[in-house]
Amino acid sequence: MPMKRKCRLPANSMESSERHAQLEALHPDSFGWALLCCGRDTTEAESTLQAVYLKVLSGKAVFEGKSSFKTWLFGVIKKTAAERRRRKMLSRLRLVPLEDVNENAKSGAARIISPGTAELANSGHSPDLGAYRNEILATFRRELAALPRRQREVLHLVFYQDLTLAEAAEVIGVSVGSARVHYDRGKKRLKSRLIERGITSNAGYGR
Amino acid sequence: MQDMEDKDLEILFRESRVNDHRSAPRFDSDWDAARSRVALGRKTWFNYAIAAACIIAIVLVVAVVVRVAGRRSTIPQQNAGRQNPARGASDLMDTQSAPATEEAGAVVTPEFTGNSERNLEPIVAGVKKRARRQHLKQGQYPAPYEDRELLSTWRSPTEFLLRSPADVLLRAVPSIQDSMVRIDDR
Repeated sequence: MPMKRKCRLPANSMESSERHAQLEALHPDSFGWALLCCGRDTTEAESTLQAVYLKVLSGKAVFEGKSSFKTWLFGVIKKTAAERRRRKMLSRLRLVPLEDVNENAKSGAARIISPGTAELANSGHSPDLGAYRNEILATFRRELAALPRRQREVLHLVFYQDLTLAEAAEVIGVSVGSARVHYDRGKKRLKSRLIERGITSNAGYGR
Repeated sequence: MQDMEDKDLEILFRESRVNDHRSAPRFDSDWDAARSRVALGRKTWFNYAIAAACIIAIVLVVAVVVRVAGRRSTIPQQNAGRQNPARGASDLMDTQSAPATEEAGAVVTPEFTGNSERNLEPIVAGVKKRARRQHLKQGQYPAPYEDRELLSTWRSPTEFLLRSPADVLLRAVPSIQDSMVRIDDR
């Protein structure tokens, strides 16, 4: 009987480089999801992403292959953002030290993304059209932010991140059925609110 | 047309996505920041471990020093028990008071004369031997025996202050004949 010999490959380095590449590819989308989870606070979103990467590096968050990597990563981002939000709330009551929460406050006040001159300059359109599009986008974001959290998250994951309803349900930790309900209700509410604001199919934002 | 379709929502979300991607920070900067925080965490953990080890080592050294110093201090105390100035003083008092008591015909207790240690030595030795045997039987280290020895030989350094030549009157049996008070004379 021939003896089998186990070959040990440098799995860790391979895995880590692969993970690094996956995280890098998903970084912009992760940032978009972090933005939504942090109320469109860029500084907070960036800190959340750093905290997520820290979890990945220190082995606190381990991908076990039970779902797709993107779904897993978005779940970690959501959890981390919730943890930070909770800490912030507790720090207001002085129950946890402020240093963890306000580590970014050193670099300056938090920035809230709103379509402004920078986006206008980068839009590549005429200033008038750019301003109009930015206004529509700002209204859209405002109305999206006004939706209940679950509805907002499902809509973001489906429309923004191109996830299926099942994947979205997995990320936010609900059943597919309730995710579908959140999706339908959120869509209806968002549409009606946008129509109230005068944003309709012929508003010209898609041009 | 005052309506909105899913496609319109998709377009708005896509616009939002493009804008967000434009404002997204570079991956490398975030990754490096996280890495440096991991390294910092490890470093602080290592520092904490070193600090804890140092504290434990210091506590151990202090405990050993205290124990050794305690043992050393018991040896002079034992010697002092034999050459105790208090006992010296009491012995002196004994020698000074002895003729007086003999003259008075009083019965002097052996303890007061300072011979008590010598008289008790065989008894103490027997007790020690028995205690040691008991400890050995029970499988114990004969450390408690040393403590017992120390306790039995310890004397207060100010013990001599409690003694006076008048103690003889309290310890001696008075004889009626030698009494200075004569009832018949009255």
